[in-house]
Amino acid sequence: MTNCAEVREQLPALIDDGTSELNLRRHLSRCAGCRDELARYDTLRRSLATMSVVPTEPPPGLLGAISGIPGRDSRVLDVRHHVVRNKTVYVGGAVAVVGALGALAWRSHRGRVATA
Amino acid sequence: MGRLNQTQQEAPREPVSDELIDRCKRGDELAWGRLVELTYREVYTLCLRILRDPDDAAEVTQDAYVKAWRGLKSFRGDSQFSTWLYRIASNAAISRYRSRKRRQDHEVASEDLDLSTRPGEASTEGAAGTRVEVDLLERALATLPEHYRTAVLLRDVYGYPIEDIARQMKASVPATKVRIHRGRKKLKELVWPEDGADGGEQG
Repeated sequence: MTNCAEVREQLPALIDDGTSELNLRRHLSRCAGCRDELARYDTLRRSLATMSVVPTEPPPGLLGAISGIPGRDSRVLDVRHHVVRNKTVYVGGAVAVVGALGALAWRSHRGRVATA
Repeated sequence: MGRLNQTQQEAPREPVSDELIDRCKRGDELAWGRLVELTYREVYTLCLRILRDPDDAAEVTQDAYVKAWRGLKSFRGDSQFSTWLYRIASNAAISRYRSRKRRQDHEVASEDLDLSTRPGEASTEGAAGTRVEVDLLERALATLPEHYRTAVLLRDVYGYPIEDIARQMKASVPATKVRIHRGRKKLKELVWPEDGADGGEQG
């Protein structure tokens, strides 16, 4: 495999893995065009690696919002824990309310039937 | 996404100390504030690079920190803290991107890309020791399809192992490698468009 087009298809992988393929190494040693191409991929990779430490300025307010997470989160967790701890009371209350509404509806229905 | 409001300078990299992390684990809100101050720019930038929408990026950054706060006790220091945090953020950003995938208007056609401030030949030649300007790379990356962009970002910018990228992108390792390689090729063609049609001398 010594065709430039085929070699150049391999180059994006080469910067990760290196190559032990003899034909490829032989081609690169003889072909300045493919060596330049490989050098460009290498430049690209090194340049991309510098981007992780070049941040974009975040919108104002984001720092405050994130810094306040522990306070907000603990309030949410407090409410959740309170509901879980008093589950019986809340469930019992809900059942009682539904029962009372049902009884009222039934009585009102009976009243309408009796007068009819 | 418009032009990135980048500082164009390297951020001061005060490391997040083990002591600071321990204080956060004990619920110290001041320590948490310091930890956020040290890391949130990079986390926001990672989310923005994946999502290319400042509002979405800010929201996902907050979500990532909520997860980090709640999961902090499970961080045992096997990897660097920033690696752990970035992984949470990129996971959240990829999920968000997928959930809004139907909104095709976020994709910028590559022919719309304005690379008018392409650096001069001297700085972009492939010779060893030169670099491509970050602003040019940002704009070129932004035009890549999401599956190429995210794969190249996580591999070449943030240095994730390929297996991690595959897991996050819910793809196989070979498929992930193909995405990275094709993404690099497209990126190279955007940065050096004169190379567009690969020459083909026979060797």
